[in-house]
Amino acid sequence: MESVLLTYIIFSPVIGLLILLFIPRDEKVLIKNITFILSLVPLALSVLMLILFDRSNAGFQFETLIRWIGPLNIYYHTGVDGISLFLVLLTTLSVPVVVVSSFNYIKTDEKLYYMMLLFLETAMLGTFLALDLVLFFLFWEAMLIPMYFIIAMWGGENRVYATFKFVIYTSVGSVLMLIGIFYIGNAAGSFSVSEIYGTNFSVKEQLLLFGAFFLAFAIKVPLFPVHTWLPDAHVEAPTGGSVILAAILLKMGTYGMLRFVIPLFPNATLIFAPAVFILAVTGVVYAAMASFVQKDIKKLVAYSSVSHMGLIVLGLFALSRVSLSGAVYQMISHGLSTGTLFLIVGILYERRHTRLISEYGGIASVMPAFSVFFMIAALTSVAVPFTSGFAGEFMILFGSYSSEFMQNSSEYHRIFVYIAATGMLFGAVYMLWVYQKVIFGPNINPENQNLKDLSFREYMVLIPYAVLMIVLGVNTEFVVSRVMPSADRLIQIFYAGLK
Amino acid sequence: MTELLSNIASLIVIFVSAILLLVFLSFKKRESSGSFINILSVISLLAAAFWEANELASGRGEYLGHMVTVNPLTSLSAIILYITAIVSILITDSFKGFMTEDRGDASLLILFSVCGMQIMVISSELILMLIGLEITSMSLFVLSSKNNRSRLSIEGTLKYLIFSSVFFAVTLLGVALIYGFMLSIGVNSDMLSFHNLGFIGKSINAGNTVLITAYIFVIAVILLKLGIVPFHMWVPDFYEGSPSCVSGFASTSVKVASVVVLLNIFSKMFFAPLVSDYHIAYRLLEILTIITIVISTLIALHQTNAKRLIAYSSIANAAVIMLGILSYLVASGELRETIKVNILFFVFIYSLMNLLAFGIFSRLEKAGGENQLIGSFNGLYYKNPFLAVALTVSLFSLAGLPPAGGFFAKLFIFKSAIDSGLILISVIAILMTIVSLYYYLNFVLVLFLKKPNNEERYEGNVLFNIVIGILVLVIIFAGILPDRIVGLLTHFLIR
Repeated sequence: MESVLLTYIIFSPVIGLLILLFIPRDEKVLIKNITFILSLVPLALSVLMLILFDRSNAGFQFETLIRWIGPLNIYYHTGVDGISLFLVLLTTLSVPVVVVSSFNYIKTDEKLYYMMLLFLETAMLGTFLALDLVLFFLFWEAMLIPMYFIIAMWGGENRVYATFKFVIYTSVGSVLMLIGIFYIGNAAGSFSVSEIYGTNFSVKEQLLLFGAFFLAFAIKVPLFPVHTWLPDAHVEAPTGGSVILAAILLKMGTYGMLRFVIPLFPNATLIFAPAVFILAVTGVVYAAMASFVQKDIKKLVAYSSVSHMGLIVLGLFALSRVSLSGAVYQMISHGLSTGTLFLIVGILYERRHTRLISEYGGIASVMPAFSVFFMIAALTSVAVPFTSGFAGEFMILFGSYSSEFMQNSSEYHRIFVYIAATGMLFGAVYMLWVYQKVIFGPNINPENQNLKDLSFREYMVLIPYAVLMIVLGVNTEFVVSRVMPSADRLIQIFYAGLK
Repeated sequence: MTELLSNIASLIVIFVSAILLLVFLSFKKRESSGSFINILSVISLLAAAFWEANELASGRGEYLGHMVTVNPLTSLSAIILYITAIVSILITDSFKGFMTEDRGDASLLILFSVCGMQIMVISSELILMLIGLEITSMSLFVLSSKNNRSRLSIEGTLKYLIFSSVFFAVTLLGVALIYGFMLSIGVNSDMLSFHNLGFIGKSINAGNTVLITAYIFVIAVILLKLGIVPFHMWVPDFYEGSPSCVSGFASTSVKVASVVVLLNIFSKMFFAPLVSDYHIAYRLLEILTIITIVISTLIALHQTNAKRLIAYSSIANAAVIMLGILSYLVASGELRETIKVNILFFVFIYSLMNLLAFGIFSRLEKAGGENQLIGSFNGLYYKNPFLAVALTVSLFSLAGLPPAGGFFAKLFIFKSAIDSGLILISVIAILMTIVSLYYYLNFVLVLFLKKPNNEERYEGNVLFNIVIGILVLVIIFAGILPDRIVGLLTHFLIR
């Protein structure tokens, strides 16, 4: 009951949405500017949350607990810990960036688009901050509606197909999770995280529930082999939609695993861990190889995201404090780098209306500033030292290599780490290859001769992410000192529940 | 006697005002009298609703030789019936849609059918229930054939008429069989005093062919009204052929009344004592529910007519109601009472969202039956954003997506079913909900994505916009704070 800060953070975008509702549809400039200002409100509030955050406290902070649906013991329970803290910040930072990046890209029905964006922000923040399973599920499902509109209305040519694939995949996963949620609620008598963490399920129950939850989250991550919706959704989505999808929505899957699957079903996690490792490293290698052969830059970035997310899942299930913190770190880093890459692709697309790699070459000569930002994002994605990507991937690999849990669960645990490490190598190959193709070489295509370099607005879009990628690459302590206590606590809960 | 009068005063108010308005109508035949009659009907319904709300706390008891039972469940469902009637009349007043001419007779017929349904709701024996059913059906026959120049309207009415009559006859035979066997057709304690209450249920399970036949005959008529497969054939034609406001009314109020009959009469008559999974009567319902959910969802995928689409969706929703009923039958103790609340909540939310959808259809619909195809909703967002958003809310709610009320309505039913152990059938139902997303979302896509076919703007009038706005707000409210509504229902139903 103490703190209302999180409630303000979650619902301030909805209030913005209501304000937008009363602005006439034709006032396009006004709508854009007001949305931008409104989207700064949750950012400011979440920075306040960061300042007030107590890094020595590993549990949930700013908790709110209100009885919401009495007869069923469903609570409006929100709270933030080190794990969700930075995901919330990433979300509130990304939305203003996406708003500004959409100023020129979205040319029809601006009002609806920005309303959907704000609605989506509430759903995403709610997902990260909810500590009640039903509340979590509500936001999780609510996220589908705006995303559906954003891809279906402002997407590319094949958008209807991509939208339905996205919605159906996600829903199939969430159905099983819903049944699992009811089962847990029935067994524990409550849906609130603080009460269900201690529940003792039999191993057989755990296996079934693990399956139900894990599938839902694996689809969202997306883990190989249920990743096929992602390239389609990315390619068809507008730039803003792609950025949100890559930077935040995918993290909801890994966040769900971390928050619910691992602490709730420790025995099942132990049993299934080798299978998860196999899927994760297969995804890392498979998606990296798939990236090699892409002709479309956006698709390449989409596959690279599948590859990186596989590595994050490996880090999560290795369950050492270093690998867990690394996984959270990499979630942030991947959000920044892939978000920037999609913005970069969007900027190119706005100028040339094509995303084929073969259409480009020698862009550096006409767009030098653009090339610099592309470079920063590509290097972060490849995990070069002094970028945030390096810190994340290094912690994941090192943590998994030395993980006791991995040694116990699988004989060949080191092999998984070796294979996953090749993912970094592959990443360097395709990312630098595409960078070279697009940026360097002779600028022979006549249509590329007169491209304009970044405008002031585009600088504003790219700078926040770029600065963070470098700052977080140099100063890892800032994030790790807040994430690690919560990671430790999670591991404690895990071992306490293990039978 | 005075106690009875005070308990069914709402019924009497509606009946008397309907008769008076009928007399008035027979003297004044001008078109202009329509609005006057509509307003008076709404006022009488409101008065009845307030009376009923007033009686909620105190009104309970058995009257007229145990033929009539009044309890909070009957009062609450009566209020839901009044709400559906009020919304339908207000929408009829604004936009006639498919109706060729209307001098207020539509609202009179709605009043009469509400009377019939309230009789169904308060009855605790089969004959009185059937009388109520017939009063309802008679009014609906006339309502649905209001456009008697259209082939669609005649076809729908005729199908409904034939199905209803045949089933009515068959049900009467079933009632006769039960009477012949039991010398009683009621469920209140006195009427079954010479046998214990569970006699019929036990005999059915023991394989008593006469009672099994009687059971099938009697339950068929309620399954017909709910539109459960294989008794669903009339539903799409009826909805397509009737004026949209009538379809909205028929698709919601009849379900409310039927559900209460299932809860009040049938669950006691055929399913007491508590059934196990192997109870024959229960098995029959379970199989029909599974078939209904699967078939209606799959057929709905191919619909191009908006009204037929919503018809199949309402068949699927009827199956969800049946899922709630099934869990009510197998559950016991406190859970059983909670499930009752959940069923009533679902029925209430379902009524609102169906009324909303059909209300918007009636704005677009023309007397010739045009604008029923999904294609005619192309780009509705550009013609009238308000209507498009309202229809989107209704469709998302029907699909069960948050933050619309349909999400929690379905959630509670599924939770009830899982809590009472009906895992398999819940999984099937939930999977089919996913399939149904396809056609709901496809419809929503049409509203926003497609370019408009014509220049028509579809402006609504003030009253119509207010009604639609209130429905939207209530649906969203139920999606955000379902506790308020559920708590209210719980407060009156369980004490």
